[in-house]
Amino acid sequence: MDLLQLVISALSILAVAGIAAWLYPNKLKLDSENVAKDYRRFNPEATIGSPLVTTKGNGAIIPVKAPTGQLGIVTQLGDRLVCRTLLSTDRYETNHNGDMLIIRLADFTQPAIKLNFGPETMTKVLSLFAIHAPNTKYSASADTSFATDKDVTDAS
Amino acid sequence: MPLDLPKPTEVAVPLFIVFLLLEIFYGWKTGRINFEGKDALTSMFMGLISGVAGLVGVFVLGGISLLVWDARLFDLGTDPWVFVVAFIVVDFAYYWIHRYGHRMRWMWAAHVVHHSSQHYNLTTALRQTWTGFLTPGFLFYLPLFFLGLHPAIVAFCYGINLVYQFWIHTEAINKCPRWFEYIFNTPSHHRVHHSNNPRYLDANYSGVFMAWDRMFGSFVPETDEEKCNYGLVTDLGTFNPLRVAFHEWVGIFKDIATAKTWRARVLFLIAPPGWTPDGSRMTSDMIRAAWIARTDAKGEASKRAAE
Repeated sequence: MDLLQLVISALSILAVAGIAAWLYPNKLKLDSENVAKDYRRFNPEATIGSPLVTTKGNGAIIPVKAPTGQLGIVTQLGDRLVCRTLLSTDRYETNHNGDMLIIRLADFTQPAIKLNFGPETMTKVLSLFAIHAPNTKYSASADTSFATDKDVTDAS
Repeated sequence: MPLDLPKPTEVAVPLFIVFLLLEIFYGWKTGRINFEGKDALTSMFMGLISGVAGLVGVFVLGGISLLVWDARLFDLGTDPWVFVVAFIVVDFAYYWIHRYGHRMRWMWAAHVVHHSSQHYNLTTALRQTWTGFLTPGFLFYLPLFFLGLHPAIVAFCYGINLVYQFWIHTEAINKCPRWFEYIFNTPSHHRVHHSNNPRYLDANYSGVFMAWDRMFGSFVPETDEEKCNYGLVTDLGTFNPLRVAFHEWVGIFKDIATAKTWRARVLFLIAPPGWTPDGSRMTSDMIRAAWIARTDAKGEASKRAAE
């Protein structure tokens, strides 16, 4: 492969991707239903509560009632969904500021997840993470377990 | 004996672009195929850099191939029948490389790239690894050189094999004629291979001839009752090409660094993806077994309900 071929190929790739993006605009917006459906596909054994969807409709946190010690995270990647199950024994870090929650997983396949929630939903989300102060960095340890849907209802 | 054969993948590049554009317009017109701009860009960029990285592979592995060729038992020459035989045995070797590419984490680290899109269209065919030359996959070809197939002929047949596999990465074609579906790899068979549905995991490894899957028990047909979902059992949360290219390598290094025994270190490399000493992650076999248990339980429940 010579340099000219490389340059022509790169330009062709940009053109093809541009045409694809133009002809196939991304219309996906997450709601409780499609989030729950997709999450169940990857975690069929779980009993889940109502997903807490972001204000922009590009992500959600899912309370997992059973098994305990799990929390579902669904994010939008292009026009597809990406599901993660966070275990209470996993290493992760959260940072909360106003309506923004940033979750950093010890997982190279998943860059920092940035989720915006309205005040009421954020309270529920923070209860799920057991975070109660803004800008608190929190890492789970083996003896920590996530709140369940019932706990969230109680907290709010 | 210098053999100057064309490089099929390079010759086919303009055709790839034409067919890509045709598929994009066909999908847009009919709604049968879906594209996503960033996903398509990532796939094609991975393909472009794969071509460059492949040059390193040719340099390193080409040298090893010629060393084995120098120690060959026979010299089958360059007659047309040799090309036919080479095409078949290269496809056989490809089957095993591909099978181990899914069943050995070291080889999966390279091959996972090709399966990392949640879309299935012709751009997915171009989403190729940058690190294939770091895996032991080439060992499967060494016996061919030792038995008298010239490395250039093997490389040529491998190129044709890859070009063949381009067109099967599409949802535009449902099923081909039955005889064709029986003999050759088709879009239907390969959709199954790219699916992350438990029913379809680790199936249909063949490159061109489906005989290998049928012979070695890895053939699973696509069914109307279960639509294919594409991607990994844990999908990537990014389009970043560096993460796409290296994520499984990073995972392996982390696991080996934190492993407590040498047995675990070795198995993190050669056991199937998802293997852990404590069974805390799931291999495809475990996912499939759990799915079978669920469907059996459902079947039992509906049987009891009917009674």
